[in-house]
Amino acid sequence: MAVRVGTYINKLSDAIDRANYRVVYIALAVLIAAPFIVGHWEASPKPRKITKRLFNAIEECAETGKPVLLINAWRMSSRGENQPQFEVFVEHLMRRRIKFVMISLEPDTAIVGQRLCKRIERYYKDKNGEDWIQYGRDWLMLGYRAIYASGYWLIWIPNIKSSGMVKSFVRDYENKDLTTFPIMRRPGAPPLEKPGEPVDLDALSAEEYKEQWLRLDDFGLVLEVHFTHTIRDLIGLVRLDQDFRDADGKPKIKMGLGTVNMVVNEMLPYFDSDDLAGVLAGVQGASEYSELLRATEEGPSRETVRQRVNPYSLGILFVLFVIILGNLSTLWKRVAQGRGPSG
Amino acid sequence: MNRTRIIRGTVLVAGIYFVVVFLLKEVSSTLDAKVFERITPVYTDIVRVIGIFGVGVGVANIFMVHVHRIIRVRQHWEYSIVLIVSFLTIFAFGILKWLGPTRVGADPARLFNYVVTEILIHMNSTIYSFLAFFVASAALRAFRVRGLESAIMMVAAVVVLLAMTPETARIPYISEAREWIDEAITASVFRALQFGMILGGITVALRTWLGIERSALFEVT
Repeated sequence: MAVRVGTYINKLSDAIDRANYRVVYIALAVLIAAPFIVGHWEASPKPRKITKRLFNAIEECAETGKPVLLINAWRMSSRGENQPQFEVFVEHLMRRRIKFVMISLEPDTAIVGQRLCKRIERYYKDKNGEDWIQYGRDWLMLGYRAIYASGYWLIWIPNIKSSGMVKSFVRDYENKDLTTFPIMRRPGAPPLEKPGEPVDLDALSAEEYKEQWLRLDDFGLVLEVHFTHTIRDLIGLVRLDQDFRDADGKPKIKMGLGTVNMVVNEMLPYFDSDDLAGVLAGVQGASEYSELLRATEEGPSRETVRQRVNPYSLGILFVLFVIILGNLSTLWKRVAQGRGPSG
Repeated sequence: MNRTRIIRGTVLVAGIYFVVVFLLKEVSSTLDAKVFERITPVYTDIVRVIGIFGVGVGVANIFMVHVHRIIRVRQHWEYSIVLIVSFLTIFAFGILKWLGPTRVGADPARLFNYVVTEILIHMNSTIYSFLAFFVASAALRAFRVRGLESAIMMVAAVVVLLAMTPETARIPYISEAREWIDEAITASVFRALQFGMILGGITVALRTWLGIERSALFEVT
């Protein structure tokens, strides 16, 4: 009996070792497609420290009234992980009416980002009234800016710092003059006399321009989705430049990041040193953030998060399963050959 | 004066500028405001123009390589046709979008957005999703315990994987163990790695700046 079982296990072990990769591919494909066929289920992860602290940093902006700079740098290739992160951020900002300016560093996600923002804006307008949130007053899209792509920020940031946001970017994604938008005024500056009409910046003195129009150091938080280069450059700048530090030497701007799971480890030292307020780690991070948002009310990003997190979980569990299977096979062969578990 | 000297001189002067800005800014922010805030935008504009020329050189290079391959009917010349046609198509759509609806007659932005959102985005997502299949296949074949080190790595990997899904993260102590691995081990290891990488980066930057890096940049013949 024992010999027969042993023979079966030997055959199974050989079959695992010789398994055609197509079988693995098909099994995984079926598994991750299953939630889309049988329906998604509710997954409620426990938010981690790195997620909670980022959530609190955004909440802080609602209290201080400081705007947020949202850097939309993800690509369609990482859509599965970054889109839910982007949506939970925008939902939080729009729900709490935190002013934000968005810049896109990738052409495809510039279009998708605009579409997602408009969808979430529509949701809150339908829910809370048309005046709840308005483009140009509460949020703004600068569109795709290739020249600010990762790696170049270290050169461009001093430029934005010295020229201010309006003179650096000039127009929004629809080619409208930035001086027509109330959001481009500094917090505390007198509002635009005629919103919608361009202002002649040449008529202002350098001091007037600096006092009235939005500057990089006015942002309370910089949120980036995907790349780490930009946020790293900004961390360096905030650390080194005295204009970005308050009287106590603490950074005036906080940084937050939503990135793919593969990159998160690289950024953990910055979280550890308090340079990063928090990090959203992949779909899991978005899902944790969504839980924090859900604590007060269900929002428009919930469905996206649910759609992504179920196949993701099944994919992870499948990888775990094949790791265990492969190792059991190896272990059995070693025991059968009398070499012991460690070979 | 040969071209190598021109390149070395340009790199040296460009580097000196940023070092001076950085050092003087620490000494006096007033000086920075008066002088450098006017110079820096001009300086970055020059970098921008050089970058755009770089893109132009890249495009010309792609055309030269692939048109040559098509004319000579070399191996995989069919793919070169696909590349050139795709490039010209999206380039044409981009130009039409730039001209705007008044000059084109219809709304070209819709066509451009259609190509991006309905074709490019899905192709992009598809290519990246292959990764999941390769990881699964590799996990079955290659991720085997062969000694103490790989056993430790395996235990850590299993804990992290279990903590990555909401369903298994509820297993007692799994989330706590993962947070400990992240904060105590991963963060420390990556900090050490980054120190090494940054020191290496500074070394390369200094060598390039001072013109002693024997890279392709200075090997102009």
